[in-house]
Amino acid sequence: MSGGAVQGQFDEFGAIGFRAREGFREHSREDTEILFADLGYKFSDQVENRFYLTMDQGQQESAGRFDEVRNGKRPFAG
Amino acid sequence: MVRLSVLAITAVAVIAIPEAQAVDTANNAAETEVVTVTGETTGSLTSLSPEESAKQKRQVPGAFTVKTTDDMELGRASNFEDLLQRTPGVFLQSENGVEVSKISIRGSGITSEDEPLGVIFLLDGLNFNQGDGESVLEDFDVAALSHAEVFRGADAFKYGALTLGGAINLVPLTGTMRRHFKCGLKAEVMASSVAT
Repeated sequence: MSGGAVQGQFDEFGAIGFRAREGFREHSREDTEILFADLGYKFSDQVENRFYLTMDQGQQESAGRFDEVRNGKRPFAG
Repeated sequence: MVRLSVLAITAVAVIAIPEAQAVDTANNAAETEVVTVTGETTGSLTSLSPEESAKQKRQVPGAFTVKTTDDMELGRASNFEDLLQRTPGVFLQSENGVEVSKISIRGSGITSEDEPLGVIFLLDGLNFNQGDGESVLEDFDVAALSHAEVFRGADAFKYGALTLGGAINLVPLTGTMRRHFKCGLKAEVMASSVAT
């Protein structure tokens, strides 16, 4: 979701995103929220200031190459 | 000196008045067409529009590409791989299909496991890399982007001495560029079966 507006000398924009994923294998679940916003102020035709805000929160499982076979639990599998 | 300049002004005024009168009397019904001059606002000074960014092609001597999110939104638009794919010289790889973890320009840091080496990321020209040089792109939402400028090779040296691969300048959307509300939902379903 994103939106922006201009109010006089100010201009603002914001975007927020949600991402949820089950993954195609185990330990690849993900749950992320991302926020980005920027606020600009035009002092004159030549001077402009801008603030950025980035926020990110996420839980991610990272599946690796280390599996049960390599772990020795099932040494004769595969 | 002061006196001289005053004289000059009066002289001009004297010459101009009869001329104006002459035109008036000669052509009474002279009507000039109304000329309406319209122009768009220049937009933001800090975040350039894609059109303004593309003008750099005339100034940058080397390889330079502008990738807009308009191109990206024709297909899947969820990560930087979707945005920067098919940019010449840029290699992107996703570890998990969602986030781009490996970026290489012209072979920079190709042996690096997950940190882009020799590639500097900028947000409106400001350094977006972390203190140790690593850039965590997952922190940034591509939905908030207007376009990305890709400088390949030596053009990126203006942003740092270690940018052997290149520089990618991310230009976010601003209120002047996006004046409406936008909401999107994307879903992907992937099915697979494993025979055992």
